[in-house]
Amino acid sequence: MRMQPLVSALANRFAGRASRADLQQAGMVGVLDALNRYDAARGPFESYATPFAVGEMLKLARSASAPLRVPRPLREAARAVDDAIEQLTGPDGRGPTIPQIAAHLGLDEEAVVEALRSRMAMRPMAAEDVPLHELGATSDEIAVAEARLELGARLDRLDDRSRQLIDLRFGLGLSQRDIAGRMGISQMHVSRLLRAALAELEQEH
Amino acid sequence: MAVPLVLGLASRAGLPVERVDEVAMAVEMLVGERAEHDLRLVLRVEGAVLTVAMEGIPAERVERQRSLVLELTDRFDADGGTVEVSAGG
Repeated sequence: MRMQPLVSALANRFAGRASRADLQQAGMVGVLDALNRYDAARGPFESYATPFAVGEMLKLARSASAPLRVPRPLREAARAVDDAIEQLTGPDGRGPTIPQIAAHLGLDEEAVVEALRSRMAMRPMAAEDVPLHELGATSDEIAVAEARLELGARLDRLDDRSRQLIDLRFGLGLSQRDIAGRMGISQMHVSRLLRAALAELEQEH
Repeated sequence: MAVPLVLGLASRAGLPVERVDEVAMAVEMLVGERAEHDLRLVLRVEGAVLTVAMEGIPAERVERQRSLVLELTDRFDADGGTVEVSAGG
């Protein structure tokens, strides 16, 4: 079809935000919509159809990147569990077990497991930008750590913040709690940021 | 399906929540988006050790995730099509 190369080129704008096949399909839906509304007096069809195709791809990209919707009671339980973990973590940095959290909150263990699951599905807020040297790692140490991880070009897909988290946790072997302390955020927050960084590493480009 | 099972059994093993979180992360990374019917998962708790054995994960995926999974778990074995990760102990 004559419009296929244009749709394919437009899909490049959204690379990584949804699968290429889905983007092209969404783009063609836009083109068909444009075809139904087109009038030759409007000028070349390609120019007319482009915003329709882009609109459909954008809708798809947004829905693909939307976080799972977590019901409010579960969000509240997840927050309570986060607070309990912070309160129950000992001075040695050892966090509580699920039964300890359940006893602290007066919940059964299944409810705590459910809260932990919903916490994993929540989108992380961005961490404050903390320069690398303030986190206690030199650029030489980071370079050595990255080489050891053998992730190659996959690391280049990450933004600076995500790359730094991967370097600190996996390259330098710091615990989530250590990273949290250095970044001034909670261990839970580090966990969510790490999950997001790992998901980004897995994106097909 | 794998992660809820990991969380549930981790509770029985008495692992600290950060270890639970990381072993679940490791399982997610190995399983990826593979359909459940393509996988066989066996979870067991022995004392304070949780082990997850997985069959049906392509060898290339295991290799791709190896360096990260090693950091997230206390033990990681990939042998003859079965991948095992453990935490605790």
